[in-house]
Amino acid sequence: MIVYLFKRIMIAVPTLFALMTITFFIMKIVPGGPFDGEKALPDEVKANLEAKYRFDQPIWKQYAEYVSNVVQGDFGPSYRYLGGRNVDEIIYDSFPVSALLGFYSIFLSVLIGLPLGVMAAYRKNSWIDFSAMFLAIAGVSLPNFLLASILVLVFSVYLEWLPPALWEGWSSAVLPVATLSVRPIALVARLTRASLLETLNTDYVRTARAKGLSTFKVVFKHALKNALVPVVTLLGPLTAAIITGSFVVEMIFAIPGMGKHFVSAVTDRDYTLIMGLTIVYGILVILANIVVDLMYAWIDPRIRLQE
Amino acid sequence: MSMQRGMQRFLKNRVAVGAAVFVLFVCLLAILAPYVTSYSFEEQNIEHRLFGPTAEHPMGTDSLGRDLFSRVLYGARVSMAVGIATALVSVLFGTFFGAVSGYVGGWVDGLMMRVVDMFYIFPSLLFAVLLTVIIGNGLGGIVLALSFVGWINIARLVRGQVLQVKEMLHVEAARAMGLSSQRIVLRHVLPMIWGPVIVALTFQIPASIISESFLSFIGLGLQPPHSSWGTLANEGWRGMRSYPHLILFPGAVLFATMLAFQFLGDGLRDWLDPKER
Repeated sequence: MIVYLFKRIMIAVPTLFALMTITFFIMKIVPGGPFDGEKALPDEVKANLEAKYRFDQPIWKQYAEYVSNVVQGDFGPSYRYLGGRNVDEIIYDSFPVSALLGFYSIFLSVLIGLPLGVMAAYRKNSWIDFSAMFLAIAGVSLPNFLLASILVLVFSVYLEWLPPALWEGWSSAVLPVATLSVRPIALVARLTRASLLETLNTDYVRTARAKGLSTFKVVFKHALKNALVPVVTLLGPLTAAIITGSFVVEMIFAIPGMGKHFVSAVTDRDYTLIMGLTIVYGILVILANIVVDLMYAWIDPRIRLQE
Repeated sequence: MSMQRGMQRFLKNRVAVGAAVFVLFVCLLAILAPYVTSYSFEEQNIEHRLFGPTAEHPMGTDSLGRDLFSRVLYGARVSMAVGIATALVSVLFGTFFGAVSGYVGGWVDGLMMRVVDMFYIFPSLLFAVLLTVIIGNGLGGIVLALSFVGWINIARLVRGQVLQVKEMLHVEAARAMGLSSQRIVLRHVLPMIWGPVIVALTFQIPASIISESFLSFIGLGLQPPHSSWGTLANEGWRGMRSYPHLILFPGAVLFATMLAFQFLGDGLRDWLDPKER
């Protein structure tokens, strides 16, 4: 198991390195710098700024410096906060907010999506199945921003039950988490249903049925455990869905998380912040996939033997 | 003949046929926009600002007094065009990549699939955002950025299909006759898999439309004077608390179109790709 984990991490390191290198050079070839504002800066000011941010150095030197700094956890100064906020400070402040938001959504998607998928498969072609699958299709088709707007209109503007924005206390988390969870719920419900239906067609389930067990026992005691194995792989796509979902949700609800910073960083061409956040997102996604692989190997010994 | 039976089954699937009719209807409205509405999408009327829905303005007007219904119609042109163009580019490139990877095999396949895997685990819209930073967010830039994201699924699908077809007898016969790989792939392999590819294309269109609206909503997509459903939603969201119609109408049209595409895709899958069921 430890060897397996080690192998996975050894594959992750070059991937991250490639990601960092690609983003660095992309940001360098993009036309238009962060200091190209509406009015041109005086030449001396521009020269000073460029010296401060090392733009006067040759590119390979900038790259080497950037890599060695990042490895030490220093993502450099943000271009936007010229007063000197560091990218790592911004990430340090905003990461817990987004992480909490994401954690709640994953929790909720399993809590709701799993039973929904099981019920749909258990009563295939019943009204439960049809409504669950309609919900799953709607969850994929409904844009985040529309759902968020409807929720705000209903619960904040008309009913005045929940705050429409900001990040203060649990009540302000309800609407953003609900918005962010709909797509993951749809994904979990869909896969759970498909996987359970497939398992119900296997030989061992037929044997269990043949020896006279009730459908309830067959589904919940025999089939479900195996059916959940593929659902574990969803953690990867869920992480991705939550990262991109957070761009919209944090913007609409004015939540000071990484997604909001990422969107404004792109708008402001704050290259160091874009690079820093991209690297953090890369680490998150790769970690999620390592966790998936480990859980898979742990649940299903056949995979471990193969490696 | 199974083709015809499939089509009959599709025509009996009322949801799918209804969805197809709806999609065609939206396309037609978009194409005929100048004839459907008497307002242009940029005509301002300061005396008619922020009207709710009326007989004259079925979806109301926005903060500059522009008719929202016309703006949704003209937005449909942009959203649909971007969605269809993106889906086509994705399918063309994805098919090329997947076919080469699957047919050539060996280390070429291994390398190409590593590339696909790397893109696959990374959040695709994050990629699209980064790409718009590089190639800009004009119409072409958006289509390119979104295609860069869309081709990955198609490449995986096509590779899997090609791996199966490549083992079939008629392909082996073609190889034995000494035909070139290029000719075999174009004439004998790809014609076998167009069904699943059409289905993937149908699902790629709404995915691209929704991705474009996402980009435009967060302000990184199309810029004025272009307006798509996403930019309309963005404008509407700002004044939402007092004038909810500004986001609800464009949003509802977008949602309905997305649903229709999903049901149409499901129906087409039953028809063209029976293995999936």
